[in-house]
Amino acid sequence: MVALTAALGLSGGVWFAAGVYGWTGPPELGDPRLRNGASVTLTLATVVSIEPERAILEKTPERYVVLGTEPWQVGEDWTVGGTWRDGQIAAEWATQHPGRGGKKGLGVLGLLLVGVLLPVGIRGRPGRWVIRG
Amino acid sequence: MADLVTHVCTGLLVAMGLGRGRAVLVAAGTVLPDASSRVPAAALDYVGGVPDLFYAFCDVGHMPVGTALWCGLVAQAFADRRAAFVWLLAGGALHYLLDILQDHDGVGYRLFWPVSPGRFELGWIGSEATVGVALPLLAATLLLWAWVERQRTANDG
Repeated sequence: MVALTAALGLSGGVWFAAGVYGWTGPPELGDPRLRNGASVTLTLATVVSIEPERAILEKTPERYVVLGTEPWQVGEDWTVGGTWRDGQIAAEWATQHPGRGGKKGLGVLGLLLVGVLLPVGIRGRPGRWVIRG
Repeated sequence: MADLVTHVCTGLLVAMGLGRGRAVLVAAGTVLPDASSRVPAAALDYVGGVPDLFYAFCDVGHMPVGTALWCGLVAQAFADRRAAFVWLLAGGALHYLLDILQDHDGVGYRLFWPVSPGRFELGWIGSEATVGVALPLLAATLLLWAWVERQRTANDG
């Protein structure tokens, strides 16, 4: 138990360090190493406001300015690909994700479902749970 | 990323012939990658102002190496830790198999970290493709499972 917990903690720490030192591959959004002209993809972000020629999209906890004239509406979920330029994304393509709200509800249902199933499949006390036949 | 109901159903469908305990563990294993990453990350978002280090711990949960560690940790609660680990890990593997089928516009999953930070996906179905079929799939899965268990009981009796 202690070893596994330590291993999980260590792996998280190593992953964090990998991000700091640039060992996680090409810089992505949110990486301070990201340079002007780099190709970026903002995945599954929500439109929070729309202005002429640009929009603000939020991928919690960050917000990004996206330059472009896609037919987005506030509240919609989009993935946008483009070029990083002076702290903004110049959009070159965009894909809407119309079913994403439903996916969050299904996530809650899925967790509840596992909670209901566990007593069906296991018995006993924590630490000595037995897998039913 | 597929929805969790579909993930649970894939676990039950694949393992229901192995006995209800194993099927439940495989199903539980299918939610572990998201339960150990997306769920705590969402909680951190809600709290706000949390240092990136804590998000790094969440990120690792949705990589096979992190999932294997989480399966090992959860398996400690079982009398037969090895068996529990195997079935939970099988569920975790099913999770990744389903996830990589999806198209996230080239932003796939880090399956091979720490060996490689590269992302991978097959892009065969849309990222929300499972949402519309999740509830019918759940109904069909539970009905089939009930029938399989009834047959098992009849054969054992």
